[in-house]
Amino acid sequence: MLEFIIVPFTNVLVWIYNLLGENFGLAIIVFTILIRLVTYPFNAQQIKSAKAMQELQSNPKWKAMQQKYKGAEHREKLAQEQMKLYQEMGINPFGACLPTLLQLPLLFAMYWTVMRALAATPLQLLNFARGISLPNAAELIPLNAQFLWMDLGQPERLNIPGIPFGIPVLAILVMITSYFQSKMMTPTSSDDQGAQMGRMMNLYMPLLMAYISYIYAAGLALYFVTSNVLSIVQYYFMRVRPAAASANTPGTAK
Amino acid sequence: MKKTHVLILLPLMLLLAACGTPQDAGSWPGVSLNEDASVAYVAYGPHVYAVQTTNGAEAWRFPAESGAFNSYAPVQAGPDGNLLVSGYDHVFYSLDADTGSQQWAFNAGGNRYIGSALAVGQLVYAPNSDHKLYALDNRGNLQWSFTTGEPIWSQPASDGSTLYVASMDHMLYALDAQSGEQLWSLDLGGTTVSNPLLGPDGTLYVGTLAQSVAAVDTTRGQIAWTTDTEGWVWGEAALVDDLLVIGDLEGYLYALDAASGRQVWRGQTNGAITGAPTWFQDSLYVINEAGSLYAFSLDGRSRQLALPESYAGALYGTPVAAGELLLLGLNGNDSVLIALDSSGSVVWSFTPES
Repeated sequence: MLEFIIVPFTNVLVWIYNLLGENFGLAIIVFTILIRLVTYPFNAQQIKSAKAMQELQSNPKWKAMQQKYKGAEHREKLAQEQMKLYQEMGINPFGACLPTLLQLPLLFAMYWTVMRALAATPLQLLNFARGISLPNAAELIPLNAQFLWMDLGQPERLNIPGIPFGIPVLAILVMITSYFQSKMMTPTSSDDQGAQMGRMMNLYMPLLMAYISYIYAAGLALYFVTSNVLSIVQYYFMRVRPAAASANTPGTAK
Repeated sequence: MKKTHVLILLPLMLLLAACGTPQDAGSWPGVSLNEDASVAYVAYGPHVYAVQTTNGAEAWRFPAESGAFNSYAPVQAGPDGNLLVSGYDHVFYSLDADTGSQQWAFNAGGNRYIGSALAVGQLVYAPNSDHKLYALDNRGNLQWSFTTGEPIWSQPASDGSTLYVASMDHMLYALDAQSGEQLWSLDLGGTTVSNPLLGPDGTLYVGTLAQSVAAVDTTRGQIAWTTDTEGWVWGEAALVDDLLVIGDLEGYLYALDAASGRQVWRGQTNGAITGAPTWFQDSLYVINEAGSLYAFSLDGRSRQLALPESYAGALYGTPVAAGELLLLGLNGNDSVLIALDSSGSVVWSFTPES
């Protein structure tokens, strides 16, 4: 279904792999940076929307509206009024969601790209052969899946002498970075339902991402960690730093 | 459950489902026969099926219930008439050929067994994706192992005293079959997943993903000749008299002079060929990924045999000749094995009961 994304992804990933001295881990990191650059406008839009939604929570009109239409019987009216205010302030309430939806096909494609490029089974290698157009692809096969202590085609575990089980370091890193990313991106909501939704998102999303990283190939987990870190960095430069700078500017109203 | 929980969990579950399961089917049915061609074995996913070739009835299946077991490589005969099964579950099995019951299992392999095993004398050689070839006695005890630079997907070949192992590290290794000592190695110029074929004069023929077929003089450990192909060579070669016939992933079938590698003729099919051509009823039969079956005469003339619509789908691997029947493993169909006569008519099909 996503062949139109997976095929070019695989070609670019293998091209980078070749360029970086056949290091698949570094290739995934560089490839993730490229994806973040290409999707930068969407991610920037998401951060802006989240910021606008957050500022809306402290708007007197919004607060008054929450007070006036309290209770389940006024839910419909509240929604109508909220929509009016969104329009008035030029806010798209789905602006923070749409980029997330865009991330989903990218995520599926990335999973299949990693699996196809590492080709641990005959069908995966056949699919790889069908889509690859690099002239020296046959010489590169099989790609070197080793990166640090990991086999990027297998679920990652760090085995430490004396500990009877492998530690899923990447899955833990994915959980931590997903939590921070989710916490940063989720606007604080003053209405109960919105706040609950936000809390659930902050709880479920990191757990799910960690679970996926625990059971699937380490290459995907590496993509998650890199993508999350880049997202946090982007958020820092777009929101935290400018806010701190404006707060420290002499004469700025607080 | 609250509506908000459902709203969040639903897309998350979708996310999990879209990534597939961790144990995706990774290959196609591996078909082989017993000595008198009365029973066909089909290794396909969670079971190995023993099917009577007279009527397509199931004789037994291993294991009785689906579980962690997965296998795709054609089952091979062991030293004592037992069956050697290469497991995707990192386990190598020996089964009783009559009942399908497990005799022993070798659990020390570090990854999938993708290629078939080979038995020579009382030793069994099992190639693994953990880069190793394991030599076991016929009770499953490890005798020695030989490590290559990359996974080994192809079945080794042997003349009884020397073992030839083609690895994905581009190398062909000649080993002493008893001790595992390396005699020589040779760079084939590309990754090899196809089974090497040992000719009666000691020449070894092997295809590579570097779009070539190589003939190796095994007495000197040197390349005798190489011939370029249009596509990656995945399938094994077939030797008919002095003609070496081999297919590639571009769908071409090459007939080469076995002595020189000179192309005698080249036929074209409409899809990738991943198996060997099979000599059956005076023709070479080959299947391809487009789901087509072709019969080639020795002078290169071909005819395409149409399969019924209900058996449409990609065809991988090697057709197997069983007397008057040609057996094909089916991929992604309810039926996993069909038997055809020389006109291409389906004589029986085998659909496992769940």
